[in-house]
Amino acid sequence: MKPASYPAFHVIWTKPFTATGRDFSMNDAEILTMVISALMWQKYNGTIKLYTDKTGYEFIKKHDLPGLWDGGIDTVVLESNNYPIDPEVFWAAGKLMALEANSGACVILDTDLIVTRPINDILESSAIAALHPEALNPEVYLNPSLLKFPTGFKFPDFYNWDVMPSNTAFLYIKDDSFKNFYLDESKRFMFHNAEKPEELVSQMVFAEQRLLSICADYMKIPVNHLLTEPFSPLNDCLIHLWGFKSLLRQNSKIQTIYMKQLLKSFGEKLSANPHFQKYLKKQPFNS
Amino acid sequence: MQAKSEFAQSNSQQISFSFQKIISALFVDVVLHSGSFETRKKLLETWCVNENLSYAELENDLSLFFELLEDYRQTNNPVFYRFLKLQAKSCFFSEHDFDLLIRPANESESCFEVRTDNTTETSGSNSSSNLGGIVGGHLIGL
Repeated sequence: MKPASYPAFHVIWTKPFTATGRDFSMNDAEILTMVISALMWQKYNGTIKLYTDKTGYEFIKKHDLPGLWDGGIDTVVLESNNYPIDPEVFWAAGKLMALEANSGACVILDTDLIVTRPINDILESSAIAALHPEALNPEVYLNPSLLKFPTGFKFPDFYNWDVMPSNTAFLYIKDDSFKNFYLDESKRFMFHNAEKPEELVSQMVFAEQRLLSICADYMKIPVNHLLTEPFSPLNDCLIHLWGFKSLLRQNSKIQTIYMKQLLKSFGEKLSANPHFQKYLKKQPFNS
Repeated sequence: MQAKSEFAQSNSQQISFSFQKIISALFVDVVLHSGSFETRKKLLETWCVNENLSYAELENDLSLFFELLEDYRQTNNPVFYRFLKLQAKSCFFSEHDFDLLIRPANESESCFEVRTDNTTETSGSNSSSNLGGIVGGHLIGL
């Protein structure tokens, strides 16, 4: 019997850049990671689609990548969204908007995350799956009294603040009922919530990662984590750039060596893929 | 048991023992005695022709190594050390010789967690506060 196929999507939401006067960009290492992420998902787990906006689409076109996503590219959902969400504070809200637009079971895959093998064995037994649990570091996951919230907002009594947040660089949600509950709670917090925090992490990770676990806990749905802890040597299925992106942006030599490693590791697996070959031919680093 | 890396651990192309010795001598000279890579280029090119090896590729790999070595010396960043070790293999410089020649600044660094800083901070590495980690780096030989 053919294993189940799981539709996934990438999201490139450029508003956090453009709304603050910055040009959107991705470096060569980030682009190569995204290319391999999309193609490896297609190879082993299902179709993949891209949600982006006009600026993101221009970027994708400039790099000749529109054919990369076999599920197509949607620019309507993010371009037409007019939710009262501050994109600087809630820089990953585009992922939640795309999730809302999807119905049925689906996977959100960050563009810096590569799944290296079929994972239907994990997803088949999951109602919710996320990448890994996160420690309740009080500098990141602030005490609720320190979070900024909209006028008139109150945290519900049913929130269990002791549950561990879930890293959502990978997120699978099977049922719309949970998805809608989670998104409603998240939107209630993000809407009209524009007071700037001292840093730009805590508000977003609450709305996306901590609320996911809180909502799942309330609905008594277990979150199945692909990894029990992020740096587990037992990890045999995924690569996530995570904070390493900052070093890649700072040091071109590290970037070159990292890309060589990616190509050594995945080049052969994707050698028959015409999109990959087309992409490689155009890269100066490959000449 | 550690998950198996998909990365071939050694450079797949073979070179002669004599050429390896030439390359090792170059590394020792540049790393320990501030010798010049420039003055060895002609010699390396001749050897590459004899060994049927792309000189341009080797020169690029060596330049990348020595440039990154400078960055490492300025920062003592353990991630740079990890990448230096990886790049040494591309230059046909053995892991054993590399370990003898260049010592890590922070020997306690985890094998699986790549950080961008060189602090000894342990708290919060398992959360989105992590500023340098690459998850699953071992799957691509890091």
